[in-house]
Amino acid sequence: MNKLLRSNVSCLLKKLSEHTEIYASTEEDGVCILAKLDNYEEWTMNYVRTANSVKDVFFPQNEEIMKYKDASSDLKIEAPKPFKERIAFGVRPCDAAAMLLLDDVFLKGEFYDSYYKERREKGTIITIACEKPDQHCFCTSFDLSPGATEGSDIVLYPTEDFFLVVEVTEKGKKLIKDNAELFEDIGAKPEIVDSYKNMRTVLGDVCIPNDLNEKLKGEFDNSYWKKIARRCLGCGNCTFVCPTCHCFAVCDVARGCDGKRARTWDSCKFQDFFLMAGDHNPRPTQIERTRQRFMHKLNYFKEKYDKYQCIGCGRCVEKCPVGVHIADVITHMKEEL
Amino acid sequence: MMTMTEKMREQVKELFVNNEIKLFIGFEKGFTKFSRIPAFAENYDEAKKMIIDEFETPFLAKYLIRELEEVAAGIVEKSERVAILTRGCDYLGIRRLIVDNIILRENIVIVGIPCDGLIDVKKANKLLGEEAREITIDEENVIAKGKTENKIISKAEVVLDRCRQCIMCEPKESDIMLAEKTANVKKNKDYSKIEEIEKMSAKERYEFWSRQFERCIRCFACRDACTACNCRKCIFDITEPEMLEKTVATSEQFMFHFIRAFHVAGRCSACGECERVCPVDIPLGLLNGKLRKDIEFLFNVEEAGIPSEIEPLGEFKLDDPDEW
Repeated sequence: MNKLLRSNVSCLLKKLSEHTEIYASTEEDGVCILAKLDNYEEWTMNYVRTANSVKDVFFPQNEEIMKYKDASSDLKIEAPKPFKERIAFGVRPCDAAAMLLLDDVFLKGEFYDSYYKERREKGTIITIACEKPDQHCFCTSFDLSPGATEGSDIVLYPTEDFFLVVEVTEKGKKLIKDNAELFEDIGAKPEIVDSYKNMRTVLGDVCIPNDLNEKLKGEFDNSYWKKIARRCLGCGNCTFVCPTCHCFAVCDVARGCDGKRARTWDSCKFQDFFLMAGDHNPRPTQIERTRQRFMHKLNYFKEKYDKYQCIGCGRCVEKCPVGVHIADVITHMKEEL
Repeated sequence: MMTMTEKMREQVKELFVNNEIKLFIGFEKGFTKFSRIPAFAENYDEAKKMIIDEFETPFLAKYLIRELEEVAAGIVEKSERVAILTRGCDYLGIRRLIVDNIILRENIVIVGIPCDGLIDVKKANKLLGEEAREITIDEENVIAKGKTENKIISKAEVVLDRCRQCIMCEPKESDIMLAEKTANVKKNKDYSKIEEIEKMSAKERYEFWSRQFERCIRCFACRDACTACNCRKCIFDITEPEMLEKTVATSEQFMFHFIRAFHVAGRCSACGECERVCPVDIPLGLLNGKLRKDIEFLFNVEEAGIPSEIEPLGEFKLDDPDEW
């Protein structure tokens, strides 16, 4: 295992930026976000979770699929430029693990998403283990922990004055080898890693039964959906900050004869998400939309990929203006069914 | 002495027993500690878990739209009315809906409570230096219990920013008032942050707002939480023609936020809910505050945003100087 001095992080980021785009946690007007970094001194560790997740780096809210010019006479179609190599730095273990769920959706199976694939292949995730999980965290409910390595290429475990560096993948190993002068081998230190892995979150384990999806199957008309939907305002907050929500819409934006086709995030919480031609909406009220969100995470996704589509990062919980809580849903369903 | 919560339960019980309401909207404890969430009771039993305390709460007024949707145009039977727990700021929201002809006053029962300002747990945590495990609130102080030490903080230090600028600390009129005591919040109109932005050069100001709006993920929580945003069909939900591109370009963000700000201009009562619900902390209060400040100055009104039959931007005078 290597160590990386905290004072060397800016140096490392600067060096890496010569060939790659760096996305790191930075503070902007008091809000901590994961954003493209220009000034390498500006990275911060002053957060439990960034407002946006690492999803933004690999599956951005907005992406251009193609551009067209002069559609009237001589149609020219332009494909997007190849993506640059990219590094996400300061990601939390839960967010990194969420990428594996997105991989299931976009890479596995008969078809794959070429944009996502290219970004993932050219991307490296450097995770920083969580020193202080807060009251919204519940990653331990999903077999993860504040020191989990799933989905990361490198994990940094903070100690008093340095980071203990654990390389997880070949990509991570190579990165350390290429920048060997900034790292120092200090031999195995499993006790530091274990102290993070054994940490429990404040909320504790919600303990999701392995067959919750089976039980939920018959609960399409459960009155509980109505109960929580009554509170829901219908904003798309929870789905947009979620690192595992991946629904998108494709739209054409035209200006005269020029235009572009873009892919943007969409949210099952919006009333126009299910709206069909002829003005029919199969999910007309917030009750159906709320049910859809939780059923997708706890039932449909599990059926398809054998995993629950939640990693307990606590963003939706922290950001929901009216306190709709997925752990509350899980606990309720567990007890009722 | 009965606590406010006990008084509320007693009153709600009476309302249900006398068959005067079909629903009571109040607060209950949320799943996480210190979170207070909206609660709906269709009978007295369901109201038993409801509480009133001084932790930050969401606004309830907006729920009246949905709960009274089917009867918006007509006066309902007494037994079909909706009762709602109402602080001063909630009252302004409810008045907004009444003035805008969204709901009828006859269809609701206002259960009023005075309010001295709500507690911002984040501020308390910051002063404590860690996440508080217990927080107790008394008349003047907030006691935050940490892992090892307790901290006694004066209430004024941890009151929510929006409560500092409160313009109505108890509902102006109500059907039931749970406490007689008038809250003694010192009204403190503070436009200093807005003045700071006014002093910026156009370029600086553009950069400032670009930075804020570029963070916007367009979840529409600000719109969905706002009582002044009460259109049956919001233009941003109309797909044909598409008024707002789905792509999140900076220019589109400006358009979204400016249209919303202009739409609620003169109708925004500074409740601060838009700022509270924003997941990326965009200071929307500054935007709405600027418009409020200008209206107060240009139309010589003391307080823009108090819902009334005649509002500065809602009337026309023949002797209008037409300065623009």
